Amino acid sequence: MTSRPPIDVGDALSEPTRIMTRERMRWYCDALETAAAATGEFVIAGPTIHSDDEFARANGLPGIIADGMISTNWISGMLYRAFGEQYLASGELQTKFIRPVYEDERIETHGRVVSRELTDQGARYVLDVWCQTSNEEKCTVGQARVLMPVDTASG
Amino acid sequence: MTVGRYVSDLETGDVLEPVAYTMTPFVVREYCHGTGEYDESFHGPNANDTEPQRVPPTLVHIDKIRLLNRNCPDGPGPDARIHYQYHAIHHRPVPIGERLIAAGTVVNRYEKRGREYLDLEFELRLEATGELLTTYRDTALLGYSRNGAST
Repeated sequence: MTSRPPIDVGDALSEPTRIMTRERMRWYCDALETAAAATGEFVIAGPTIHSDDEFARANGLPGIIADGMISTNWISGMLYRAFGEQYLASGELQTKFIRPVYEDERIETHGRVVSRELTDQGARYVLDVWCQTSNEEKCTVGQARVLMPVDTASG
Repeated sequence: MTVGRYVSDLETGDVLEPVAYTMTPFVVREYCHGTGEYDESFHGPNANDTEPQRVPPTLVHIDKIRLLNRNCPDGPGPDARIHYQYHAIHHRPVPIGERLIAAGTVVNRYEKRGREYLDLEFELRLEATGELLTTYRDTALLGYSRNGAST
């Protein structure tokens, strides 16, 4: 993560397309419970709307849907690969889940730099970020901001 | 202390009892495997051991789960809670191996278009110094089928 291409207004970011498999949905549920328990032991999550069709249908959904934090994490990873440590140190990410993601949908992860403003602290980048299906239906939308030191900021 | 038996009991102004914990390499690795985060810097220190294992900032979302588990031990309530919005501001990288403390408040509970929403705000700090690491605002729907039309 030491060498990164310059980033300027209008530049597009993306991640490889991923399939939202049933397994990915369940792995996130288990990871969430394992992290929350913080016992050092792996935890298998109980039934949720993300892992159990019957449970999801009882809650008014047609079947399991992905946790919005999966697509948020795909966006966050994309920002880390673009901005590195500065994203962890001085980044901001806002996402909204505007459409459920269903099993086996192909999800693309995108970002676009919409502004770059020089401040006393460095160059502040603002990006539109989103995930969409292969039919270009957006499911997760948001904005990100990252402050880069001027000596490493491009443009 | 229990603020509400269920998450659906929470009201505007409720202050959640803080949770202290240590961010471990295991938790970060498990979370990253669960999200498909493949960058090796989140799975361990670099080869020369000069750079520590990184922590994905999205792990602040787990602080919400920790705090709700502590403060609302009987779960979400009559309906499954659905996450609607995530908003994290990173003040400095979250370190591995140090004691952290997460605190949270209920900022707003409101109804919009027949659905009930819950806005929560969280702060993650170093326990020893109180230094702010991350602020996080989370919006969730308290139920889906009973509070509005399905999409």
